[in-house]
Amino acid sequence: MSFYEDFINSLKDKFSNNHLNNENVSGAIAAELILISSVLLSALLLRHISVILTAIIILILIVLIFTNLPISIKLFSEQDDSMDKMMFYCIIALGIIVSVIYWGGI
Amino acid sequence: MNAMIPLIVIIPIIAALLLNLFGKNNKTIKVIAFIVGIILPILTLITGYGLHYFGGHQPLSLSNISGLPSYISSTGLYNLHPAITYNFTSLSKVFIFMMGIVVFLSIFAYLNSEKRASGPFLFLVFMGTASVSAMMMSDDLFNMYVFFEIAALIQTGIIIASKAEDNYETALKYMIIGSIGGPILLLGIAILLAIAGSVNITDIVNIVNTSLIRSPQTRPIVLFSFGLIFFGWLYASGFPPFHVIKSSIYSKAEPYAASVLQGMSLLTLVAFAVVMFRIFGKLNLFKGAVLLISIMAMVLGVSMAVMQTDFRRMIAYLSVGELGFVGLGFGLGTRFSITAGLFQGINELIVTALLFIGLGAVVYLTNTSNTRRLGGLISKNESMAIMVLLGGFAMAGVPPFNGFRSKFMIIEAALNSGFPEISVIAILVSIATFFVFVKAFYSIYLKPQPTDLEFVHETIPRSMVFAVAVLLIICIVLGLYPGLVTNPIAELIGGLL
Repeated sequence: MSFYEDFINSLKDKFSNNHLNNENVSGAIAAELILISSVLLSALLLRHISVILTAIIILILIVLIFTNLPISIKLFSEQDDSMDKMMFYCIIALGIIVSVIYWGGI
Repeated sequence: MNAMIPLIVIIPIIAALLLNLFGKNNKTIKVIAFIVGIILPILTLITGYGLHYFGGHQPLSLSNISGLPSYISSTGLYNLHPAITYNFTSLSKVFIFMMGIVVFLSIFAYLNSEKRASGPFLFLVFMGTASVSAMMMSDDLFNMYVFFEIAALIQTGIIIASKAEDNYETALKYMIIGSIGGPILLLGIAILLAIAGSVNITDIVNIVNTSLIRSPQTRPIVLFSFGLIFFGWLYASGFPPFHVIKSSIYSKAEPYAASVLQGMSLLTLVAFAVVMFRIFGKLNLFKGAVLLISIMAMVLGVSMAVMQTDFRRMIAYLSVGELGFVGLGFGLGTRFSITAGLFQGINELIVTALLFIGLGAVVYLTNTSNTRRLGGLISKNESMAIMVLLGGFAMAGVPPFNGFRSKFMIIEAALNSGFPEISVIAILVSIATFFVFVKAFYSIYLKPQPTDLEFVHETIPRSMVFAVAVLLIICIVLGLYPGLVTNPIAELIGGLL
């Protein structure tokens, strides 16, 4: 129950107590589970490149996930309509694409 | 040459100009919009497949001209396309026809719900339809870009024409973000033009795949061009990192406009995805990049949708997430997977329009889309509530609806391609989509009605119910007879591969 209580507390921090109901909690828990399972499953795709790399990445991801719970709340606050955040992620994406192509030599 | 092909673009443009011209005459614009709305899908249906050349002629190799000098007949000039070529295929036919249906039903619902129709708004809708139709047919990369920019401006205009709160701010943000995505796409196209010497896509495909991609000198330039065009494609489609602004513009548009907007994004996605697959499909990077971004879109879309309390934003995020399934088809890269992805695109076009219009009825009744302030609306119109629920089932992939067929095909394609992880992610996302709908349906229609809920209208316009009913029938028909769409698409994809 500890995880559930931690989860509810972080939700209460994020949203005001007055507006917190079972819909918010169930939605946030569903999002959390989808994110964790999808990230780990996506990491499994790396087995097509290297099995050892996959194992290392998954272990790192597990550590990162459990030290950063709840992810969905943090992600939700990053995905708002703020122009600064949108521009930041836009530039990051462009940087990643150009870097991968330039240094990746693929 | 097929003279009917340009009419698919010209008629909506002329209609748009007339609607703007007679913008103050309510009855005239209603009649024009209704008639052109009916004509567009019919015209698409009766137009035969073929090519149309604007401002030039067909390639000399197809002209059977004898006695040409050897510096023409024995060089690349002999095969180059000198004209702006429009290629009307089974793929463009299916997508433009379905877009025509969505546009007609959206306009029909709009004209009957509003006492006074807006000429400028209808102008934007028809110009947008013409733009995406041109993108679907054009075999000229620069021509596609021009219509892509027009479509981006039209989308901004549609948000400005909305009555939603903060619509101006969202439109401005979309334009600012677009000022990064659009020029980057143009730069990618310009680089491709510089190394290939042509903007015709068929010519570029031949030149890139026969020589440029094989040469160590030109391969990095092709890769760089791919990176830039890929980034522009993310912006055009609303894939991450542009999913937030895309979902924001859908939620700020009027329900009828949102259904057209998502159709425009989808057709842009498909048009550019097909072009990228033709030009860059042989790069190792292509499939990996498209798969990665599609999975991100699916997961982010559905996980953000599940946490929303505004149902318009919920549908908007789901709509962005569902685009990921279309991307998966291209990322897996087989004939079956691309057919499945494109079929999913058609289904999403129909289902999302159904949900935007169906749930738009709730905004029409209550002037709010906050699920916390809603409840008990099933008593207002049971049939509409049930149709919206069934539409949600279609999006989540519940049998016997169309969404089930296409998602099942994608899952099967992922398994056949050796990616069971992707199949599991697709199933998880579908389950989460189902969860979102059950949650939204309960909040809006089933939970006790809040005492402070006020109604601005007492009944839902019949035109909205009619539009949703027609879209639901299409969902069921495509679910029972998927071959109506998949057979013509599979034929064309077979040719591309």
